Amino acid sequence: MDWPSFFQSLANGILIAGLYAAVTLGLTLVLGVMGIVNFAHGELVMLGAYNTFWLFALLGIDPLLSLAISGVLLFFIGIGIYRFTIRPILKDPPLNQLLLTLGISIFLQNLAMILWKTDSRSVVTSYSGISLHLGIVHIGLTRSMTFLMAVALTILLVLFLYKVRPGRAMRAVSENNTASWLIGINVQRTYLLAFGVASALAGVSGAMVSTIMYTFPMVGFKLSLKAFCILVLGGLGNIPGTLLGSLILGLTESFVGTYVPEGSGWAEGISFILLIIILMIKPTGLAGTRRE
Amino acid sequence: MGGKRFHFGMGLLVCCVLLTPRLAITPAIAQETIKIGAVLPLSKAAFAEAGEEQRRGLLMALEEINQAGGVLGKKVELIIEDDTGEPSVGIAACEKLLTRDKVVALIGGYSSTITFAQMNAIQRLEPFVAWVGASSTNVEHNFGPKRWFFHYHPWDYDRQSTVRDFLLSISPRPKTMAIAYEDGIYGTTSRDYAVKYLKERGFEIVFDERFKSGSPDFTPMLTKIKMVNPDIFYWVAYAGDTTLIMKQAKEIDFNPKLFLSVAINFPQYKESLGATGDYVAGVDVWIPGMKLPAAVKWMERFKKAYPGRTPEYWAPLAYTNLMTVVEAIRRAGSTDKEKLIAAMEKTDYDSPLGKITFKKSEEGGLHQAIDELIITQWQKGVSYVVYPANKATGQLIYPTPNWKNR
Repeated sequence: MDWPSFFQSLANGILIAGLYAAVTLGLTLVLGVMGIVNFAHGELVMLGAYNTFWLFALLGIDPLLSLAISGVLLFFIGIGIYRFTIRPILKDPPLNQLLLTLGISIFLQNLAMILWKTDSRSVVTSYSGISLHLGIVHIGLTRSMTFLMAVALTILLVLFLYKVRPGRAMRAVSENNTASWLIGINVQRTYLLAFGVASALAGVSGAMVSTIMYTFPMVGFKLSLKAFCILVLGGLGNIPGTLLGSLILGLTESFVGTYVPEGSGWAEGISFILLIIILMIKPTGLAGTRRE
Repeated sequence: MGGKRFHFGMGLLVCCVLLTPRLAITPAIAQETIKIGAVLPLSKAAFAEAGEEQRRGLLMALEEINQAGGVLGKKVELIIEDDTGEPSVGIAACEKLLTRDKVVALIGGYSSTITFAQMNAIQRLEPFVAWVGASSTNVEHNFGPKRWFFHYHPWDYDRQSTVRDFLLSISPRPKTMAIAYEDGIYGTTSRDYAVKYLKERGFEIVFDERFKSGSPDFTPMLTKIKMVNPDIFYWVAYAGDTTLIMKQAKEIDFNPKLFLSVAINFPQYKESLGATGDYVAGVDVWIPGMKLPAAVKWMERFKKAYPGRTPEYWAPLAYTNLMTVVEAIRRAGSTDKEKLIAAMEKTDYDSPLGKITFKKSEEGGLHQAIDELIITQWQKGVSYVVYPANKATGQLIYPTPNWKNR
């Protein structure tokens, strides 16, 4: 066994899982609270990435700082999208909601292509490219920061959902929206907030994408494919499941890429093969429970 | 509620219509023009960078041509269609240009897959085609022998034979190579020729695998390649992949003696990678720093037309495309297809890419414009031509310094 490569693969898998988790969290929140699969989530990530890129390119604002700006900006964009497009069709059949979010996704992709062209752009800071040497393992500084940021986001989201009143309202609504309404929770406002927070999470993860990957109109779409896989893998709309799903996907991709011949060619294939296997063993996903 | 939804729907529809690319560049009176049709990929993400670059080159040429009075006493009208990266749309665009717009020449092109589908569909019409795109020999074998088909971009093997000759010219001669390639037709065909040519000359291929373009993480692949420790790491990919591969190669401290790729002179390379992009070599058709007199003059005009933008080779290529076609129309004195083909065969044009004449190609093409490529290397943020010697603007730095010593 070539141990340095083994531990390097382990580190690679864990680090990329951080990014996957950050991208999937918002999707999980919207699905958990509102029961909507938001196909436009990847495009919100892309907008967060472009925001970070432009703030850096035009004003020299460091991505660590613009992370927050992306979050706030996307929060309001999310609220706008919810208010003007999703709310009017909340009571429609789920298929309409799917088509609507898919439409928004294609619209935002095309808008990005027209506004910013399809050049792949990247944020290069003084610290990007710095590699940390932990014994036999080399890990990129920005990727490690992204990982820590993803952990922090998850903790913040959990605290919000369990300790703060609007967060608790979200959990109540996700359990049963009619009962929540009867005990005086403003369900509409809770939905609005949940969509806003999910978009803010997309914005922050977009900022991470622009530093560790590159910014490109399709970048969110590619990531959201993986996010959907994690979502189902983890058991639709629950946070521990999202984390577990991200970790499993990240590690599988990493080890298959390193140790299986032609492994890198399987990138997207692996996610879905894994998904099929897990759904065959546990149809509700890893941490999912059956919903009535 | 219903009314609101209707308004929303209408609003969305209007936005979609407004955002759909409508691209005909039409002078006031259509009858007095000579129509030329171009099909470019303008909205498929992975291709549109090159498509946009071609459009810039074409519009620059068009403006110059029409400012000088057009050709045969008429203005040139350029109709640009978007193939959207889909073969079916590409075919429809060609059919529309040929049968409805009745263009005298079909130009542009990018993807080999789409080109193949397009030429297959329109060959019954035997139109006059001066095609910039497609490097797959699949296209060359099938349409290269057609009298009406003129081709500009080098074929796959031209690129790979340049890579082989370049590697043979390095001292001390590298022995082992790792080859990674994107899994589309572009990557796989390049890989097949590269492996054939390199094995023939005694290079040992220690890694030979495909990857998915657009993947967010190349560290597993790079870790694997690091384990086999090749002299040369050669990969065939699109711009975004190359950016990520270099960033992550640095992160995991992967140090081959040379990073070698394809088309690394895209506009955002320097901004996207900074110092991480230094010492990377790549095979290319053209770079803005070429010392050819026509290239220097062309660059001045490009900078005036598109301030602040660094062109990729697709811009001068498309410029040359339109210029040579209009030149041929001028020399033919007519837009008659046979006369146009005869005039085009006698092309001798001093382009920003060098002298353009149409020669027979290695695998059966009748009219091939470019078969010579260059190898460039980034050094302290500047791209230099390091091979062949007669075009060199700098000296190759080999072996590449380790990440720690940079």
